[in-house]
Amino acid sequence: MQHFNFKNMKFKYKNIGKIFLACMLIISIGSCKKDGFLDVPSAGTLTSKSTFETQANANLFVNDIYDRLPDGNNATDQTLEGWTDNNNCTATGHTGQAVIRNNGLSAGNSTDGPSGQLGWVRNFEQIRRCNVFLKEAEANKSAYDAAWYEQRVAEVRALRAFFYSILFRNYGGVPIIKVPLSNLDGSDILYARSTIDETVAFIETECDAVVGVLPATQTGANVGRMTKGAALMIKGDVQLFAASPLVNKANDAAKWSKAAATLKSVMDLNVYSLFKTSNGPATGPGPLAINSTTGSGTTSSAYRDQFLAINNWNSETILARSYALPSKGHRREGFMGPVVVNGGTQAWGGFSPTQGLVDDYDMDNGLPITDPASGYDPQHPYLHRSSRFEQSIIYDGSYWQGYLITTRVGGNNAIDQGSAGDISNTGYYARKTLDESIKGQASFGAINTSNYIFYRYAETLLSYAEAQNEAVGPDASVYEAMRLVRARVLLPALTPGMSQAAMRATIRRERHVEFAFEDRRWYDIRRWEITTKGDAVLTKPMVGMKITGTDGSLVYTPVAGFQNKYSDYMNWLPIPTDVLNKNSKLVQNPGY
Amino acid sequence: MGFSPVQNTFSRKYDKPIAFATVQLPAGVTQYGPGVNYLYPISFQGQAKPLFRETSNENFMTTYQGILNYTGSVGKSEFTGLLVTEYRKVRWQSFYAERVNYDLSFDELDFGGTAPADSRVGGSSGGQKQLGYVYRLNYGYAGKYFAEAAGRYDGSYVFAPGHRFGFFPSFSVAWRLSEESFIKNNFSWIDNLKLRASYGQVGNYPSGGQYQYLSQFGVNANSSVIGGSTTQGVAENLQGNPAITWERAKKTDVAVEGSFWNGALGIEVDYFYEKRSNFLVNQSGVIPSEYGVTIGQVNGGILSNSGIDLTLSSYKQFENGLRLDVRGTLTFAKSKVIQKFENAATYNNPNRRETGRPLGEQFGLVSTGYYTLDDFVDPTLKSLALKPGVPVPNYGAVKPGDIKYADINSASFDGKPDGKVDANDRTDIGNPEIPQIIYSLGPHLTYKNFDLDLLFQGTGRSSLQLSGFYAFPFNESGSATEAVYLDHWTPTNPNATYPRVQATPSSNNTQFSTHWMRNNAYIRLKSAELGYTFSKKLLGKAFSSLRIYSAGQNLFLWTPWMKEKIDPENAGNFQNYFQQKVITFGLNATF
Repeated sequence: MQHFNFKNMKFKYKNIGKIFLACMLIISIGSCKKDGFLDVPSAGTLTSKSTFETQANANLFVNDIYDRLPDGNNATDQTLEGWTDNNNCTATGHTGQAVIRNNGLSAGNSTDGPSGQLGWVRNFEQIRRCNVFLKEAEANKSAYDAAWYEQRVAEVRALRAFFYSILFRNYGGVPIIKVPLSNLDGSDILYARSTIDETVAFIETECDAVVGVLPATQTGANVGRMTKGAALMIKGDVQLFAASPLVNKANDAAKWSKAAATLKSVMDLNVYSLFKTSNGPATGPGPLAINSTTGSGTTSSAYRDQFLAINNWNSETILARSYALPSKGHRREGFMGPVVVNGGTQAWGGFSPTQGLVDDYDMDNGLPITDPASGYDPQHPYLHRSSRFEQSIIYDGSYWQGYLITTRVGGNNAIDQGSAGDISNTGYYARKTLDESIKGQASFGAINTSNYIFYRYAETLLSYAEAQNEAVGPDASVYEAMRLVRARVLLPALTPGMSQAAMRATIRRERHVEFAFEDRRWYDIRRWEITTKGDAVLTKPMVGMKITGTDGSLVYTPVAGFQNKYSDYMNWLPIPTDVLNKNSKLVQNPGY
Repeated sequence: MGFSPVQNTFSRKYDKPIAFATVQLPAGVTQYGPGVNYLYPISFQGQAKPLFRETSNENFMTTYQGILNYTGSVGKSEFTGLLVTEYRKVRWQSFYAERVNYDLSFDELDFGGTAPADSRVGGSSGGQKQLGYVYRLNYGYAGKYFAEAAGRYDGSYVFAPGHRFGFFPSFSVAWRLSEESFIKNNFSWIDNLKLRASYGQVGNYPSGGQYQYLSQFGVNANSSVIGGSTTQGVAENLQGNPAITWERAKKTDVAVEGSFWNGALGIEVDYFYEKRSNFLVNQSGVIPSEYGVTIGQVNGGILSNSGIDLTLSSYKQFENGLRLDVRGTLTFAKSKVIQKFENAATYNNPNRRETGRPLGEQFGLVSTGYYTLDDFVDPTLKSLALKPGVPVPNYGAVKPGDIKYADINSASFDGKPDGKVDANDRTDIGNPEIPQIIYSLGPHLTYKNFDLDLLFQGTGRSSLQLSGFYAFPFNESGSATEAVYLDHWTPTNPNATYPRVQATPSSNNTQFSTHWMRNNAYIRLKSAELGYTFSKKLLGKAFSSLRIYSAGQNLFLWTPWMKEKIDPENAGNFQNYFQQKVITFGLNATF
């Protein structure tokens, strides 16, 4: 650093020139009345203006909203299945067991769910992103191509409806915010909760508004964007939830009819069909084969294979989150796969399917195991079970990656009732939704790119069957929807002449097994109000299968594991204390 | 009058993966066991081939500075003046290039893998601009009266146009009474006595970083997957506060300093009062969660800090040759939040209101011990229902041995129990972690050839909330402390220091509460030194001086209210290394 020192110079006039220079500098800088000369552009960030002044930049803003769709395949080893009677992965730190199934939900002990997907704050963040786009894009639309603008607005409204549907299906009525809130312009930023009816109506209206704009299918570089079918499915699912016993206390049939009509309109698009192509050998040696020494094996694998990356966006997929390499893959096999494979520890074993789930799979003759005519043998429980069972569950005596998994006492994945390690607590693992060609340890490199599916056509069919059965009873269209879903897994059609109640029970069982490991159960058990009432699935113990003896003389004994505890009011999640504190207009859900 | 150093750094990094062997079963074998010929394939963690990266950072800093100095005197009056103008401009940019998959083991960018994905580049840039004017005028009269006026006028790029400049003046006066003849002539025991007072303002930058005046939209390089590939995304990261400006601290200080009886007593007392207005605070407490984006800090807080600084020194020479020197210091300071953004849940609850209390005051539940079997309806605990009248905690189901909390308030903040233990029952349970009292005492003894030097230091009025691995056994799959092992709740040890041990710490037992609150006042013997200097006579001509000594640091620590072994000066997350006890023996010789 160098500077001029004028100390003791007041009588040394020969330096006057330097003094003059110094004064000039001071004056020249000081005379800038405006302080704009201190501007330093922010190189690392964009502004609201630069983001929305061009279509290309605004397009990137929409990309990022898609990135906020729930990342269910990267929820480590915790999934929504662990919140239900499906999965007894008893890691004590898991929210499912430590909080949800332990009667521990409260405002002060709330949870945002696996990968934060159910969080109040998080979903309102996504909703703000949508609102910012809708507002700024409208203000700048003269700079955009009209068709592009119309499409993106429709997509963003459908995305916003989806985030609202997540909130609704977990919290009930929520504040409906359609503009980006601003504390700078004096507008009100405290919104009260809308009623359930208002929230449902808002989602319905939004979906209706975009159905006519969105394309029936997205192709090429647009695959993954919102479609007509996706918007209708968001609406239909919300209507189904609103027609269900949790919400529809008076069992108003009109609500069921409304849901059935929307779901029927998805079917009538004639865009979707159940995926029926197998991608590998169904039997025989090889990693994709489903073989068993204690079960039946299978002659089809299409049901399982729809969850493979090579079948992303197959004919059945309606709405999903996509993955891609190198940086946006997922680790599902490592987190959720069988623990010991080929003698080494491969995975965390995030899925421990319960006996309750296993028991709901049909026999291959289409009958439930509770039917005396089904031929079910409790001492050969895996023989002659449906193809769907073989494609969904890894059990004692079945193969995974060519390795014979034995969960019997003394086996290589012996049932871990005390939860001493990662190995299954129930004697079962999940096969479906995992890619058998990916080894657990390799999976931690996030190399799987299979979709996380929010809606697939089988759900359209089963939701339609349920709504239609409730609205008018088991008519032919109900049987036909059920037939389609069951035929894909080689099950015969249902016997005609069932009562409405018998059909209801059948549909619920069908849904239970069809969507196992797909994070649907959390919504179903609550809307059916069977968490603490009826089947009371969340107040019963989680049952596993203890197998003793050796091949040929195995003894099967169901054993109770973790004792679930739950309260009926928890069918709606609590609004977290911190959220309530910041908005005095919010009213907590009853019971908390 | 400019100076422009350019600072460049350039680095090269060549990472060669280390191979390790794994154990595998031969084909067709499914079980480990005797007689199996295992395979040991070579494997790598991550990339199997080397990576090479070159990074270039350029930093241009230009500073223009003009300084005018003036010194003059008229009679007994002395003047000095200073005027500085400084303009500072910084521009930096960084750039890197990286290749992976080297087959050729050669650290040259061109020799890396040839696939397009094997080459990577990246870079960023930024800058700063600041302008400041500084003035200072000093006046002194006859060595008795002093006055100073100084100030700064600063502008910075950190704020939006129109909010960039701030003026921060300061003034001080001093009076040396001991130079006055009425003292000089009448009180010969006064060596020095001075009164002084000052008032000044200081400007501070926002703690939340630059560009908080802009609504920032960030680029996400790996955003959603559309059409089968990763896209770029843009998202709103922050809603800016266009009005953000300098934070202003106003500090008033009044002091007396004096020395009496030829230094037998030295004293310096300062009283200070600091008020930080325009204090930059987060509004997150009053912005609803539905808002959906972080909001920049606003100049909305007011915080005061006041207290005294005291230094006393003394010595005594005894006739037998013993000499004692003592120096002690004491600081007492207490802050007060005068204004902040506080939501109704705490502001309207007198127990929890942060406004009016010291900054960092600690709030939590009041523990009343542990739950016992008597609190439950079913003595077999098959049902965990609590008896009527026992407040129900809002933090999940409890069992005997879990921490029980007092129900002292309700949602209407009327100070009456409501049968629930929740956030409304929190109250003021501890001082801020930063101590309000800091003191030290340093006696120095010399007797004949011996000398002894001690330094004690300590603090008071500060609290520590234990948490994490230190307090909760098996937290995040961690381990447990020995203290927990030795004294946790069991039916036969109902008055334990720690609650029942759980495989995972429960929400109930990890709440902020008096149970985990500790008064961490301490006294520490920071250093001690004992020495002996040999007399000249003994040494003869070989040495000109010789001294042997023994010295120690951190010799003794007393934390009367805390059983846990935590270094009170270094608490952090309770896992920090203790300050070490160091003992040295030494010999100083001069030839």
